[in-house]
Amino acid sequence: MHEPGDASVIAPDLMRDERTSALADAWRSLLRNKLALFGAVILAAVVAMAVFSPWIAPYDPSLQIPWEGRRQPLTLFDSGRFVLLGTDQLGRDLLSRIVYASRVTLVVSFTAVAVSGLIGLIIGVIAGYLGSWVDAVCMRLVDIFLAFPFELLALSIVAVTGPSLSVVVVVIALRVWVVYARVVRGATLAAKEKDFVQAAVALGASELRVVLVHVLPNVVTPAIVIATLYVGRVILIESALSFLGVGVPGSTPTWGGILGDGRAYIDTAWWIAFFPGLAIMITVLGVNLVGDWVRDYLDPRIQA
Amino acid sequence: MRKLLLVLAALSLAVGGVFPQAIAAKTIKDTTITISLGSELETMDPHTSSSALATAIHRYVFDTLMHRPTGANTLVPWAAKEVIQVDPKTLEFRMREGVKFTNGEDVDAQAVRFSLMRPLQPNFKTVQGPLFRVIDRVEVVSKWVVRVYMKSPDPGLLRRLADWGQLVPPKYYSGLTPEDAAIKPIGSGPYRLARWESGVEMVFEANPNYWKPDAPKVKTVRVVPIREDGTKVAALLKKEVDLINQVPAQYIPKIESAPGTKVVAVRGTRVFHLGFTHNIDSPLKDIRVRQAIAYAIDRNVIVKNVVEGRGIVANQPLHEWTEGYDPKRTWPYDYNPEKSRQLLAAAGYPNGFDIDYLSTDGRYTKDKEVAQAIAGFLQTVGIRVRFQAVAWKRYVDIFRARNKPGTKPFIYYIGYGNGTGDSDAALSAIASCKGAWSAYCNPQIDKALDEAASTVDMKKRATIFEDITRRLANDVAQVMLWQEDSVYGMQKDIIWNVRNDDRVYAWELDRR
Amino acid sequence: MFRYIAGRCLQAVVVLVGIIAISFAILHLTGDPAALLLPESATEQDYQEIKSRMGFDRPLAEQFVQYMARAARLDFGVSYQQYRPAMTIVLERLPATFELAMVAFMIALLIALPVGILSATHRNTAVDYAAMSTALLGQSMPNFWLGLILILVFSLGLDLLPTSGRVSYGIEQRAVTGFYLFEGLFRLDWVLFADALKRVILPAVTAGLYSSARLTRLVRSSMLDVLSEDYVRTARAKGLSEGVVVNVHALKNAGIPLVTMAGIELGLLLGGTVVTETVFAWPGIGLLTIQALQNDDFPVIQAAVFLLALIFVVVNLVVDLLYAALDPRIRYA
Repeated sequence: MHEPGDASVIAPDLMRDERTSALADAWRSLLRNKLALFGAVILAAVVAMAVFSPWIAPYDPSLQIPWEGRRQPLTLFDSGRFVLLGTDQLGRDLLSRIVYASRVTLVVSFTAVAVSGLIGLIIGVIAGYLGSWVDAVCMRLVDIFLAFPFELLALSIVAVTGPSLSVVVVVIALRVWVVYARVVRGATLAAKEKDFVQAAVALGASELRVVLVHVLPNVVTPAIVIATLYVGRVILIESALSFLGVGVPGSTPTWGGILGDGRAYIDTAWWIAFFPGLAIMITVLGVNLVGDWVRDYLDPRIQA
Repeated sequence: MRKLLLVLAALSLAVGGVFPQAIAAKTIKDTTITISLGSELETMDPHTSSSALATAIHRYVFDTLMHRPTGANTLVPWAAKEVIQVDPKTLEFRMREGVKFTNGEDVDAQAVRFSLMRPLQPNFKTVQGPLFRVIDRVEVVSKWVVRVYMKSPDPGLLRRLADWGQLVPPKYYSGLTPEDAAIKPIGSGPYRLARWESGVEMVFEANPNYWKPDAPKVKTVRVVPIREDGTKVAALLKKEVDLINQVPAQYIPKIESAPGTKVVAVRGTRVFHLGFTHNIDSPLKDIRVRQAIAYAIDRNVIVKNVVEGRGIVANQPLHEWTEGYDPKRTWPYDYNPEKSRQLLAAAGYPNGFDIDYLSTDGRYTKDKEVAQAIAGFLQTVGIRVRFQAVAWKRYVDIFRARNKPGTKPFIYYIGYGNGTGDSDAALSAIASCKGAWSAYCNPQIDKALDEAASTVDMKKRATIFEDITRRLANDVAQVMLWQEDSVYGMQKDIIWNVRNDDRVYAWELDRR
Repeated sequence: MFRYIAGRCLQAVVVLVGIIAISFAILHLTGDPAALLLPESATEQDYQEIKSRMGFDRPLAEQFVQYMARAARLDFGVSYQQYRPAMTIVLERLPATFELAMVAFMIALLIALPVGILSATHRNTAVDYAAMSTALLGQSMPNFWLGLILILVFSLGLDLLPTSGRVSYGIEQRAVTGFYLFEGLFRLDWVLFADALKRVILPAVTAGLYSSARLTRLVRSSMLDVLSEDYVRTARAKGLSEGVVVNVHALKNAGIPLVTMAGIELGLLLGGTVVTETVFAWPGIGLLTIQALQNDDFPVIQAAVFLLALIFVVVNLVVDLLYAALDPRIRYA
């Protein structure tokens, strides 16, 4: 049976080259693809911004000067403070806040992608390998999570647990794991049919060994592709959650959080909402460009 | 109590004298006024809900026995033409003979009895039970005279009857399902509900037979729900809406400078404070720490810069038109970070301490910003707060759990809106052992509150309340912060003597 | 074929039951509607009284069994706030959400089809690059941010379009149903139609942003796949004009996967307008549910979650069956 939306996946042959030459090959491919290279540069810059925030941010991002609030970009105060992107409603330097916010944004996004990948990988392999009723149960679970209106699910969960970094990661993972699960299940089914897997089973290898040694390597590639394609989506989801007021709380800002707070001032101080949105867009664009390249390079047939 | 009654009686005479029974030909302008009061009304059944919005809008369609005139702290009889305190536990209402509900039923003693007892029916789903619990029984003395017997003397009941106890026609409501009661209201008020499209608008049409000769003034009043501040203001500027409430400070200059609109502000009834979990073991138990917190906060910056002048610094939890408000009161802890650090050191925290800090997000004017600004002030003297701004629902959950064993101590930012003007209810709520918004328990304060509740002499009661708020300040039970203005934006041709209790009554609105 | 259809329907029912159970579990875990219904001055005694009056003090298992039994008859109970049936309240908001999602969907298709085809037929030209860069940007943009910028530019700045609401005052009385836009169109009431259209445009562009971008890229890649197939090359070799080749041969064959993707996109749009409705104060199901969540109005939340999930499941079911009917290569295992 063909299920729409399913990825038709053919297991890549990881043993075709030696690892070093594979990396060199990837590097050459990246250099040839100008768009992907552009994306990689953006991504590297954002990561650098997160790692070196204290050196890049001109001011303490939590320093409030209430009487210097909502000043426009390029304002020079009498005190000598110069704010490139203006100040927010409490007089904090917007640029410094955006620089620091990259930290939480990246940590949340990468963790969420990884957590959902782990869940999706496990459930996908189990469903695909064991088949029969286990498969049916897992796939219905996937359907349920696909059909649940996501924003409402997220809002309800956060309403119950209260907002925190781990809750946000879990909520995002609840949405994204299903994508992995479907693709990985498809890849597992394909791998199971392979001659060498059948042979291993016939030779009496334990099921666990078959899965670990023969199936897993064949589903890792599609999982990696999904991961790179979904980092951008996850950043967008995280910012939407922050915008709806159920994002990562606390003194450390996220881009979505600054944007959400700035919304009340959209017509009196547009920059508070505008610049964090721009940061999100540029970052996601970079990630997506790299993601497209990774997909094309590893296996162009995978679709999220 | 007798004094209060004299005032009431005098006023009732005045009211009765000015408005003749015969309905004079009133002039109702054939125009529409559109207002937006933020979110949407939940139900038109007056006896189920207790939200502030419902309290205001239900009065368009339903009359109450009592009424609080604009700017006053006295009550006047309203649907009743006269009220008499027979004894401390008995009130007698004399109704206006001949006044009818819009379906033709009489607004008589029977209707009063039905309406006051309706929220008390055991199977009736309502949150109004607490408002009327004190009522023992309601007796129909004659067709137009009715008596309310209380289980114990409760001076607050009359006050509540100016907001609740809306009169409904008994025959119509006896046969109504709860679903229909929620959307098909019939009352004796100045307007009737002509149309209600959920999420879009409520349209009220004037009741031409309303007993009050000078009300309503305009034929149609529309209420549209607009929750977004920016959207609300844009709608006003584009003349899609004639009146909006709770205008955010950043929009005030815009509305003032636009050619067709104006801003009208009055002192509001919501007072904000910083509270402490006094019941949990923490540095907050030490009065020097609480004083240090009070000294650390520059309340003028909050009022001037953070809420942009949309209020005043508050020195006491009570507002201007409540009993026990002391106009000469000062706040003992003027901004002094140096002194704050000294007190912290004296209390044994020279390097400060860590504490949870809770604030609402989106419930009050700039709540998150104000709370964050306070966090900044506390940070400067070395108190490191773990700041959490949460939705109201979550805030309520956390706050309700404050007495559970193992709860971590916290500081909280909250505002108490006292629209009914009941000092007893306000102080009990925020500073008594059983108060819903109180984390402070002081038997002496509770005793004083009990004493006030049973004191009939108004002057003496006021003195007790004054004394309570002074003691709360001395003990730094809370840090009083600021009192919010009620800011309205209107088209310039709208005539309205703005009320200071956040209630927008449609029948008072007029257009030039 | 029949077994396939029956099986898919059964799956859909299982999914819906699962969603009802999960939403009940999440909400009743620690939610406390009683506390939120109380006036500010309420005491602990009042709180307990309200709890028992509203039935919140009964055991959770009992509440759950009753709830599932009623949900089976599509009865989600009476709203704690409005005292009316929750499903009625939610259904009143359906037209708003439906029109928003449909207009967003149409905008997405109107952009995706021509731009995608143009990109594919002019592969690696400036047109293609421009179209694909725009699509990439569209996929990278937070849609609520776009919504805010649209408001800033078109409503506050240029004063061309309203910031919120579905129709102007007085206009809504022309409509019998809540579907202002569609009713205006079908009854040829241009005043109603124009007014509703003016107000739906910004929210629809915002809601449809991501779908437009994704569908554009999809149309392009499907077309590229098909254009390289043998029969297209044959058609070209036969000397048929490029227009006929593209529009008749290629599009027909690229159509099947596109119908599927478009259907999935529509399902996502119908259930995913919460953020857009928040930005534009659009009185749909999403906005209603956010308010219900703030008040712990469980019946309304559950009815809304169920309805949105039902729409999603039905749309997907229809897409699957359509796909099965269109593509003769599918076996019904």
